[in-house]
Amino acid sequence: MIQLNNAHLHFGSTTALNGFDLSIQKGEQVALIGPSGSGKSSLLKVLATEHALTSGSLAIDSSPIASLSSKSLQQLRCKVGYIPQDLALVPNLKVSQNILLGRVGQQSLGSTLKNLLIPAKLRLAEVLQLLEEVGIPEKLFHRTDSLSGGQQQRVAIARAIYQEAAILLADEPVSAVDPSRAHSLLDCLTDLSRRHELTLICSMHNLEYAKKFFPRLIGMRDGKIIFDGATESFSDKDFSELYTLINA
Amino acid sequence: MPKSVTLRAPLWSWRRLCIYSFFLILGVCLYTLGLDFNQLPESSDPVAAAKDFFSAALSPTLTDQNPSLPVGSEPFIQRISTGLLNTLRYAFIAMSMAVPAGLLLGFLASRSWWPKAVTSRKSALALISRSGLRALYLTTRFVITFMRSIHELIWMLLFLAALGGDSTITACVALAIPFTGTFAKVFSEIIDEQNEQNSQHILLAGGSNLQAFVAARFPQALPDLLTYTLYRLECSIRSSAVLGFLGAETIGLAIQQSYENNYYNEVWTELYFLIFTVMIFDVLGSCVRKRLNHAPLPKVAPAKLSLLSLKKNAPRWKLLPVVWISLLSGILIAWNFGDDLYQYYSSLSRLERTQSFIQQLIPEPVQLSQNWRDAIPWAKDLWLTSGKEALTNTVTLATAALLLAVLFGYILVPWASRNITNFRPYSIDMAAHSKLRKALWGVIGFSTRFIFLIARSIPEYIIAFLLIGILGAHTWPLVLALAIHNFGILGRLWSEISENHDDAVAKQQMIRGASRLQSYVCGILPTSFNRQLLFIFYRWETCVRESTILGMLSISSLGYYISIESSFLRYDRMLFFILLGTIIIFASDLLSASLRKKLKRE
Repeated sequence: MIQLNNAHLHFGSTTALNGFDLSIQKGEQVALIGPSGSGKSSLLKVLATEHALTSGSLAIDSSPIASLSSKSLQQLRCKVGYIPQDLALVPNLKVSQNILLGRVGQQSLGSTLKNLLIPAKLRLAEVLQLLEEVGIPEKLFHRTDSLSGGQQQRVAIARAIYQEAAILLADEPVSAVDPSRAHSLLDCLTDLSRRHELTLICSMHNLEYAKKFFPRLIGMRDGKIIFDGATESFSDKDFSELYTLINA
Repeated sequence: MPKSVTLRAPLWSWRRLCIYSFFLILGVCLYTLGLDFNQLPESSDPVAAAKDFFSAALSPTLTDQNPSLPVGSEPFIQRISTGLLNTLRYAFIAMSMAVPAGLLLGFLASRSWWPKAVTSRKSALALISRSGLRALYLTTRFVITFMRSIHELIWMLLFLAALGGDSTITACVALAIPFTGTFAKVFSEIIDEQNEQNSQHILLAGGSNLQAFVAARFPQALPDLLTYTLYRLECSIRSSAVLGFLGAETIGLAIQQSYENNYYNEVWTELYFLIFTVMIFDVLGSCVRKRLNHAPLPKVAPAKLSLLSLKKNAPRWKLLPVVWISLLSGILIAWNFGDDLYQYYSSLSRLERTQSFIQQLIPEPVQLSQNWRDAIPWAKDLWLTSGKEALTNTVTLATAALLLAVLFGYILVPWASRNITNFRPYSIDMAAHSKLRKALWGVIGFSTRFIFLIARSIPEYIIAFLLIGILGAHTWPLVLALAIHNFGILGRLWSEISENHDDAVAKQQMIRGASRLQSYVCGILPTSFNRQLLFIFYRWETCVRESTILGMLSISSLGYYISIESSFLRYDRMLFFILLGTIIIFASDLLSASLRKKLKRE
């Protein structure tokens, strides 16, 4: 479903991705792990089509991204849900409005305006059901900036699910919450992706959570994939080598 | 200690340069303006005049001071009520034109809806569309700077000459044009400064640039846009009052008439009415700002979670819909009630009058010879005889006034900041205070804020008009008027910076024994200095614009010549001085913008 070949990404003299191949199948749940600056976020941004590869190729659903027309790229983007580190929620909009923006790519400008100003009851009912799934239904009409960090992360997850995307990318989704909230958020995210048959790719700083919630791990360092496989196939030695500083 | 280490702080830094330049420029301006008491007319006694005028402040009147008014003439209280209602009417009509036009131009002058790198392909079509957008952007920027560069009073003078100034709508349009330019500039800046991430996310979810603008950037900018609109409404009330000095039937006209007849008690009543009205909008603006920037407190969640019950229990601010409905009603009333907006008394039709006016805008030698080359010696002569001096006076006056406002503003600002002038500064529990001490801190804070409020509530044009009556017709009353008004505005803006500033450092310093002033100087000032400078540069640009028109009160800045040439119907010469003013405002705008950009980068 996702196929990367010889992926290179450079920002000036900085190398973010340093030539690797990667294949991820439909419905897989994958955690990207590795030290800061290893290329996890850059890889997610490439998969979200925010950055184009400097060289190499990316294909999603067998469509090579580089050769897509603007229209086809826009259609493909509707299939990829992305939760960035800062969540990208509009703070002074209501929770319902932020979630309804998940399907912005499938709507005309007029429908977007209508959804913001006078949303249909049917759409609101869908949003309410999603909020029930992430555990905060009572926040439907609350302003997003009045919610706690963990609640905002749930809103971002609900927005990504509402998008009806086939692929869900999340960049450090539990970096800013306490352990018990992180646990319940990851539980919610993996459970939803399983039930909605989504391909889930998360970058994670916390190794324990990655091992506990994701059946496949990809270890990255210096823009390269150091290891890739089933979680249970890696030993503590593999992980400690991944995080060992080169100069140490 | 290694020998190479020097313990001397660097002599030059950007901030030091600013402070040294401040005193140097202030000195040069004061020297240029000169303090010559011989400028006062021999017959005048400023002390006695000031005493007469200010002693009347304690005894404002609600009845006519003129003993010889004919029976049946409109009573004083009714006259000022009509003047005040007209002031509001002009302001509301002008705002109802300026806000939508400013929004449209602001949208065109912002770059945030342009195709982003994330969506655009490097095709020839993309290149052409980007070049087209850039041309549109630059044209719009030029138009809005031009609209702003001519003061509403000068627009009014132009309309008086071109269209006949009898109709209310002429004054409203004169007010709306520069306001549209200001709205467009500020709106575009607010929109462009919003967080990029939300719009980017919409694009990555397959949305278009316009959808990203409408659904993410605009809603995010909306609180700032509304807050600024309310602030400008307050400004438009002040400007509308000033239009009275050119004959519009606002409270300004009443102030002018009462003052010229030495009815000082009447003047003070009119000033109090004006100040009170401006204060209402000032307080309303701050209440709305608070609510727009903070989410309302949540209510208890309903037992049954249905759409209806959740909607019913949704947290909301009650004041906001009341304010929006009141303002919209105000606009509707302003357009539909009162004197005919379009009344026109002249033997010539509007078209004939405009055609004749345009003809007269052509330089006189060109009118005679039909050769545009003759305009060059004509312009050169005007520049050498009066333009150069008027331009120097305009810039010197504006700069001196602003620097004086800055000097006095810095002295008072700490005492207007609510987080400092409080018996619990930065929420620190101090040693047990007596009730008197607690009350004293409250009084100090309130009084300082009140001084700033009064200073900015009276338009500089009205202050200058009153001061000229006391001190005589020379430059200093104008400098003082401009300085007083800007002192009030800078005081408000700077105290807001202190109140919204992260006070962790200042708090720590006070806990370790620093005084309130020390905590401000060492904990808040160093990190808010650049933002304060930003406001100084922003105000300098405004001061140059204002000092141009203050000359209309018979002092030789550009406004003086504009007013003289207009009254002698020499419209070609009037246009020359207006364009000179426009050039200096374009230049100050560019200089101020580049300095602000440099500061923001720091």
